[in-house]
This record gives sequence, structure tokens and C-alpha cells, in this order.
Amino acid sequence: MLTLSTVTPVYSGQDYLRELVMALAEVRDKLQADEAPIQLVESIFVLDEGIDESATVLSELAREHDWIRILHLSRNFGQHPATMAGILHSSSDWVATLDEDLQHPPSEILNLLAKAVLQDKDVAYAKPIAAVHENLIRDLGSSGFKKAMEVFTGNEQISSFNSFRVMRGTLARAAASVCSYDTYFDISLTWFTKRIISVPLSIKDHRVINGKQSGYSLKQLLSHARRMAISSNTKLLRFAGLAGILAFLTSILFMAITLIQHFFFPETIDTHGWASLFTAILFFGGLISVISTVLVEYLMVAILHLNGKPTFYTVDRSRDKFLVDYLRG
Amino acid sequence: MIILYNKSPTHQTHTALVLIFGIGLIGQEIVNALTKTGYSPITHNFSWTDRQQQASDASSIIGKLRTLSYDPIMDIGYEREPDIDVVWAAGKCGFVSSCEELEEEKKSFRRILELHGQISSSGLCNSARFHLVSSAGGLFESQKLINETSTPSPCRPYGNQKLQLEQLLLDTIDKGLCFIYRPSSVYGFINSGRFGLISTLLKNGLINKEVNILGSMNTLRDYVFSADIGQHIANRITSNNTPGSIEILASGKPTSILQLKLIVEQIINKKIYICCSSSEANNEDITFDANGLPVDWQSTEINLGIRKIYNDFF
Repeated sequence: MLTLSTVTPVYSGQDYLRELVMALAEVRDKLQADEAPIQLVESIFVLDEGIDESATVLSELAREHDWIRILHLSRNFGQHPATMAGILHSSSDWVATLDEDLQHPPSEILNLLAKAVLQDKDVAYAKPIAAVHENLIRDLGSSGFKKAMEVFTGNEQISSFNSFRVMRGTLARAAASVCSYDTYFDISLTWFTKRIISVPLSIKDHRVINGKQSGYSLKQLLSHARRMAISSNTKLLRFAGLAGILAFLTSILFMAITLIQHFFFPETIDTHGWASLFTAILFFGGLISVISTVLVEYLMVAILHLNGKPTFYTVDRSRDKFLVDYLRG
Repeated sequence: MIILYNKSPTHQTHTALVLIFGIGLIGQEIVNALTKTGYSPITHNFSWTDRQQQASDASSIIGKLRTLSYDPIMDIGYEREPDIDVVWAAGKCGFVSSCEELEEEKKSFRRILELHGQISSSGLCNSARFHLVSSAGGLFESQKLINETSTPSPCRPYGNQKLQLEQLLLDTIDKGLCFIYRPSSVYGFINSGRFGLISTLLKNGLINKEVNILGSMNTLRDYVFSADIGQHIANRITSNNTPGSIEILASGKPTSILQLKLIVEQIINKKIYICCSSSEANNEDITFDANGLPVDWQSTEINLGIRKIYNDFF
């Protein structure tokens, strides 16, 4: 039998947790009733030093359901570290992560899992089919930033990223293991697999839509964006390096033209010194750009190495075959 | 083996005596924990193989216990009979040990059970308690989210042997006096005998030597620090009111080999070369449910535990 765990970071979810657990229990009951080859064995709730009574609600729920596990983080670390802590405490073959506020319906976990298994993928992200927050600035800001990051970093998976995901447990744990405190978890996940699929789902953040405060502030969202940027490869830097090389080569060409003019056609030079000055600026500017790019490339290699980007990693997908028939049905 | 006795002011009416068989990773930690609370250790011979010598050693041990049960100043017995605890933390065998090696260990265990019986019948003490350090990994191999309701289903002779020892104990001694501890994968520093995975990672990492692992980088295990187990067992020994029990001692947090490698690399600030061997059937995950652990059990976070070993011994 294969196993499934869910991980939910909790910050201010007291009003939603009971309903969330009921929905998870329905998934668990359904799998048990179907005698499915995969069972939901644990739901891990990671208390990220929340601001409400979530801890009390969860303790009550844990007394009622023995498959609920609670982790208490020692301080508020943020959504990603909390998710990673939960993943690292999981032991299942597949791990689903979902938010506390019911914007990610647990009933869709099996849909995500089915898409991943049947299409031979390792990760299935939920892809909202409409604006999640119904807030133009926030929704456009989020998708725009991800698109820009895709261009800058060359990582085509970035726009798929979503906190509602189903992942192969071994890869999720490997990705979480290598993350340092500033690594973006999903970027780390792409170091281990490119078999990623986006599954269109209707996702709405009712908490924000209904005018309640989001669990995460603007500052935290910006920190999120920063973390994504510094965890990624800097493809853009290579463009800067290329521009530097072009400037350098152009300066050599200009230098040759200036010298030819100086020795063979001196009468064509109206003002002496300007051409040499521009050529020198172009020469040294280009040279500095190239050197800087090389240095930053070295730095990026060192940072990615420090961040734990693996040289290779092995994965066993052979047990997926046990799920195929059930998930097709 | 080591005999520990306590004649501190808290034991004015009687002596507390502890016999520890097996001074390995866990045995040594029990000794350490008890000596911190005022117990004094005496080393005593106990042959593991020679049957005749064992009988002689057993008589000598009982004689020693009798001496320690008396007040040396007043030269009379204490008001109360001594508290005697026998601890079996021995076992040179591991997951891949052969049946012959295990049989030898079982014979030694029977001998200690007999010694326990002799202590009870000698008039020294009527209710000597017995503490057996078993193995959760051996008993529950290949199971996940193991808790107190899980049924042992050993996959190899090592696990079967552990189950037999537990059964033998429960059949021989009153259940209220039997304390069975089932630790998950224990790590700590040991100078001799089998090095555990973590000590090997530290040691080989420091000398740039390859580490051979029977499993894959994804293999999940639950690691517990030997000092935590020593402290827990010492707490059970010093607490007279606790009834016998079977306890799983685990951290409740699964850790992959990859995580271990990264933690150790970070601590020693060096790369570790790992060679995974998947030919051995030892790459099944073994994980534990944190909800099923004893309420008074304290587990050190793995990062901290490894750092402690590194700082103390390397």
C-alpha cells in the first residue's frame, strides 16, 4: 500500500481548520472505503507561531483524529519554512501541501495525484482558472512577477508554482532537505525534477475576497519574491556579459578605425582626442562588464552549490503502477 | 557488567542497586545518567560465553549485592530491602547477524534471567525489576508510522530474536516488573564495536573516506540520541512507582540519508562521499508516529545530537 500525507502551514486559520480537517477526513474515508492502493495516513499541521487560537483548535482536532500531527515552530518562520518543516516530518510516498484557509479544496488532492501519476509526473501544481484573490493588483502582481522571473532565470516552471501541490514524497523531502533558510522551496524542487504538471482548478482565496486580512502581509509576500529571485539562476546576467563582450569587440573595431584614420587619413579628423576617449571608455567598460559577469557566474555557482543544488539524484517511480487502475477509475 | 549502587541521603532507608549488562552505546549512557544522580559504579566480570564461569560470576555478583545492601557503618541491614534493577542493554548482533550469533546472545540473555531469579530467591529482594533494551527497527522493519498499537512483524532473524527475548522476559517475570524499551535507530559515539551510520559519516567525512550505505539516499529512518535513551531508562529506574511497560523510544521525525549527509557535511564543513548499495534489502523506510511516544520521553533534535557528538568526540 502506498501512502499520502498532507502538510498545512498554519498562521491564522482558527476559523477554517475544523472545516479543513472535516474535508481531509472525507478524503481519508473515501480512500479507506474504496480500499484504494493509496491511503491518507497523516495530516501534518505546522503551527508557524500563529496569531490566533489555531493551536487550541488543532489540539482539539488531534484528540478527535489520531492521524493529525501538530508541529510547533519555535517562532514565526514564514509559509515556506513551515511547509518544508512539515514535508521533512512526513514519511509518505506522496505529499500534498495546502493552505489553511480552504482556498485549496482537499477533494482536489486526488485529482492532482491522478494527473501526476497518469502522466508520469513527479509534481502536480494547481493552476487557478480565474483570479484567486479577485484583487487586480495582487493577482496581476503575482502572475507578472512569476512571468518576469521566468524570463530572467530561464526556469520555465516558475509560473506553475502554487502552494497547492501534490509531490512525490522522496523528491519533496530531498528538495526540502537542501533548502537553506533563504531558498525558495519550489525552485529547489525544480533542481530535482522537471516532470511538473499544472492542473487547472477553480481556486479562490475567500479570506481575501471577503475582505478579511490575508495570512501573509505585503512585506512577507515581497520577501517571498526576493527569496525566489535569489534562489534562481541569473540568466539575465549572461545577457549583461554578452553585452559586455559586444562592447569590448566594438571598442577594438573602433580602435582600429581610429588608428587607420590617424595614420592614413589625418585630414578627416576634425577634433583630436574624442574618438580615442570614447574607444577607451568602450574598451574598459566592456572589459569590466565581462569580468564582472565572470565573477558573478562564479558566485552563482558557489551560491547554488551552497544552496544544495544537486549534481544528480535518483528516483524510484516503479510503484506508481499500483495506483494507475484506481486513479483512472 | 557494571553494578551501580546509591547510598545517597535520599536512600537512607535502603540501597538502590542497578546491574547493567552491556556497556555499549546505551548501557554507557544509562551509567552516565545514573552516576549524575548519585550512583557509584563498580565494574564486575561476567563471562558471555563460558557457562561455568557465568555461574561463578553470578554467585560473586549476588555476594557483592548482599554486601552493598548492608550499611557498612552500622554493620546491619537497612530498614527496607534494596531496590534492585537489572538492565539488559547488551547485544553485539546487528540487522545482518547470523542465526548462530543470535543464538549465542539468546543463551546469555537466559543466563541473566536466571540471575534475576536467583536474586529474587536469595532473599535480597522480592521484586527486582528487569529492563530490556529491544529494537523497534528489528521488530517493525518496513513499517511506517509505527505506534504503540503496531504489531511487530520482524523480517529477519535479528528482529525475530528481539521478539523472542521480549516474550521470554514476559513469560519469566511478572509483567509489572518488566520494562521493555524499543528504540528506533540509535546514534551516539562509541569507541569500539559497531559504529552507527552517523558516527561513520562524521569519522569518514573527516578523513575523506567513502561511506558505504545499505540503502538509498531516500531511505527514511528515525534516529534517537543514545543519551536520551540512557536518561529515560535512568528515570524509569529511579522512579519506583512506575509500573512495567513496553515503550517505543523514537523521535517521531523521519530523516532520509540525504538529510543526514547534509547535516553532517554542514557540521564538519566537508563533503562526504557516499556509495549506496541497493543490493541489500535494507532500504525500506521505517518511521514512527510522534503521537505514540511516552509522555515523559524527551528526544534531542537530530541536528543538535550530531553536533554534540562532533563537539564531544571528534
